[in-house]
Amino acid sequence: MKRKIVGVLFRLALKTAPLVGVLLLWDIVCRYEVFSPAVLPSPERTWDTLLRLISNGKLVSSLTISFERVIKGFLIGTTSGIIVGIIMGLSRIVNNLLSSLVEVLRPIPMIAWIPLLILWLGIGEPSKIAVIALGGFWPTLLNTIHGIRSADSKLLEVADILEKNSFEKLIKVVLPSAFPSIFTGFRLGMGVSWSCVVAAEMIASHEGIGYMITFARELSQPDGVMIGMLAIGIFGLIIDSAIRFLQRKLLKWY
Amino acid sequence: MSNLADVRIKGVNKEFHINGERIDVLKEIDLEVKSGEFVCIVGASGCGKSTLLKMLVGLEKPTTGDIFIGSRKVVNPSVECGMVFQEARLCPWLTVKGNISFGIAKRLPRKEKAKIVVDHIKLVGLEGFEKAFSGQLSGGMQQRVSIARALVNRPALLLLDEPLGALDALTRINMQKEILRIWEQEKTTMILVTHDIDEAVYLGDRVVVLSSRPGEIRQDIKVDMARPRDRTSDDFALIRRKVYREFFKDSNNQPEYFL
Repeated sequence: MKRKIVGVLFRLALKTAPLVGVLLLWDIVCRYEVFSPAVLPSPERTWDTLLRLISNGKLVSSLTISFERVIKGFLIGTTSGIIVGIIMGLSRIVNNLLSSLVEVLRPIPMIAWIPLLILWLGIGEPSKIAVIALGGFWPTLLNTIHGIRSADSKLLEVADILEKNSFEKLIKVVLPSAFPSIFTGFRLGMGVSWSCVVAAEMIASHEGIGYMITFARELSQPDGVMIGMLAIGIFGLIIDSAIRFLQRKLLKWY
Repeated sequence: MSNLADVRIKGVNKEFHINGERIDVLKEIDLEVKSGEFVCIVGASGCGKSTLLKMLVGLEKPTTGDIFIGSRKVVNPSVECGMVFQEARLCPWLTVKGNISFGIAKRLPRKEKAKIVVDHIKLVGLEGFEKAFSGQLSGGMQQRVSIARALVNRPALLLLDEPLGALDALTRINMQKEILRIWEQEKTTMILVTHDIDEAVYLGDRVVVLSSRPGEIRQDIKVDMARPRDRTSDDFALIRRKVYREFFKDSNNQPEYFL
């Protein structure tokens, strides 16, 4: 028991040590004014800015707006990713038909889509949602195809012996075996969607966390920029943990 | 359904074509299995014994010849014939209950399904493990689930393709007893393929010895012994020796000992 507690504490210390180290280093660098405060604000000033951004509601409202966009785009992107992925995974013809298109379009960075999408869909919400959807689409698509393909042929043989029809085989064997893979697609897609929203907001927006960062930069407030960045990181971590939690609940056997 | 379930394999040949080369796997197989009989097929690996079972269940078609289960000519899979493989082949996302329920082919009311599942969990002795996922079960338990799943449709014929091959020696002996118990209780015709001669003599009413490729029936040995059989008895040794002789007749790698 005692040993266990010591072990837990040790691991906790290991995990927090680098964070504390970076903070200390930051503080020392600022105390000796290695860089000008306009480039690297001190930890105290950054902390004050953080408290201010929380108390005036800017940080929370920015995150909420960005999160809403991500959810909308993510739902559209992953749903279509799963549907197209299932079809491409099941049908060789469709797969051959679409694979060259996928191979050409997929490597295009999401940021490169933004100008075109703005031209097509305008500068408002639809173009942002579209970028996010696209970001969530590719990982879900590829992982769904992979999951469908990796269905165990031996299990399908059993299903044949038990006289299951094609629909039953899809629902009861192929899809369940693809679930873990599809979930991995979700996780990756969520990560990409989350970075897409920031990029989209930085290019054209007047609200959201990406806009908050650009705005702080325009005012030459590196503390605001850093807080925005950290908020993105922490919020992304929370979302990822939530998906992993869901995965553990839904895929108990995995 | 007694007479209906007789299995007749008539003049079956099977060849595969791999890279344009013809490979004869099975040659002139003629075999009849009476309803309720327990037949063991032994043969070296690669002699086509698994192919024979696959043709019986309808996953493969004979190149020439016919297979009948009762009056039905086998052309495609039917729940009339169940099959257990060397690997349990369970759905890892389903519990023991779910996996057995997956076997039920007919559309039945939920209550009836549940009753069938409960009965078969009892049949294979897995009470208390209903909610376990297959990954949480030992190899022997997984195979029990697989057997239960194959039996839920009350098949006239159960095929077992080296079902105990992956189990350790003690579990295997235990499971042999279990299979016998289930066979006696359910009165299902069983055809079991194995390369374990002891297992074949212990379980079967008959032991059919296949030659190596192309597989031909070399000998059909009746095991006239009451069950439960004593593996250490003289009668058992006598039959085992017969099978051994047949098994290694033309092969160069004679066994080092004759029992």
